Amino acid sequence: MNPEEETHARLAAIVKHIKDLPTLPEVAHELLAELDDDESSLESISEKIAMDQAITAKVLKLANSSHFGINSRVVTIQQATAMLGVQNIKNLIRLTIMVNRFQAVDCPGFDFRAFWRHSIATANCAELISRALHMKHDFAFTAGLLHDIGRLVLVTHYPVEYAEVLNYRDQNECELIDAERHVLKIDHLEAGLILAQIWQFSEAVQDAIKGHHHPDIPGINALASVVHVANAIVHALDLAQQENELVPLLSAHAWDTLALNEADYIAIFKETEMRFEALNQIFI
Amino acid sequence: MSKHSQYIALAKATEGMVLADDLLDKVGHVLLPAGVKLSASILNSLAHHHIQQLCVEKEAADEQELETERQYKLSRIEYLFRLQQDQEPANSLKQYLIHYREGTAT
Repeated sequence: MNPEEETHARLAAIVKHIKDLPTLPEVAHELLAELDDDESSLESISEKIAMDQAITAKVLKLANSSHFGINSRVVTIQQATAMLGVQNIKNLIRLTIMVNRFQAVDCPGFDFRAFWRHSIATANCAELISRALHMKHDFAFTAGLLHDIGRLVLVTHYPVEYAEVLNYRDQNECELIDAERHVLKIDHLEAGLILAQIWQFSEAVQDAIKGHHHPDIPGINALASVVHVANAIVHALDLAQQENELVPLLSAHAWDTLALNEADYIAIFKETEMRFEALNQIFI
Repeated sequence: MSKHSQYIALAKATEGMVLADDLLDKVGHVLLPAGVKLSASILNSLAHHHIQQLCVEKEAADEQELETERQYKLSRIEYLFRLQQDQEPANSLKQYLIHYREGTAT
């Protein structure tokens, strides 16, 4: 097989793998659809949350965490949603659903917890950046959360070969994406994009997955730049707690697109670390 | 609640920790008021009240310890940016991060 055919064969295998994943539970499905609808009311979201025990528990835990420092205990979903706000609740549901989607497989060297630590931190950081830019920040959280989802697709489908990818990265001190291309002939951008298309994520989110390493692709949504910079910040803040952490190449195009100043960035660093602390205790 | 408190699992609570917040049961009655020092018998009885986590005061972190952690985070920065030395815009990001970690940001 020539390299092109090999890439093709791998892509086809991955499509099949994704289609074979168990479908989302119905409640999760309804919740996700409702989350994208700006008109959906807090009451109807609360009602649906109450149907899912795992999500209920996490919502209450977050409402009672020290990050949302209040003195009285929050005991009902209605209180919790009112206090946390629609935005936080939506993000929490997205997180719960996604984190539960992929079961850990045995891939030596791949740390699932570190993966989710990085994804959750990037989701928060991307949302903070888009707030600073007065962009619609709903998409930013989702895009940040899912930007590396292709990595999970690759790890769960090719656990043995992905261990080789990690090994190659460590030996050659390169970015993971280059190691993926070298060993697998396919990278997490391609794998993530397929998943995003099959699961029908919005186009902005698809662009962010496709462009988070090279946000200067012509015509791509600016969300790619937001996630690109958020990703770099989270690596730089060392939040995944991995010994061999590395800040990937930072794109001047993305940096200039955001045009934030030092004070903006310092505020974003601080808030990202604080929020991460709160969510980290609940999920990981 | 101040930032000097934290939630911990009951299993991780040890004798001598101080409650930072009133501890309520699931119907909202105060089991123990803020400020109570946990004893072995209190910890035992909590296990029977379906309490899963507690809000306790953080021990005042040692100045020396904080300084060591700060220095460690600062020293990591060069390593984290090892792929792009003296390149813009990575350099700007790195400078902001150094100011942030040094606490010299305005």
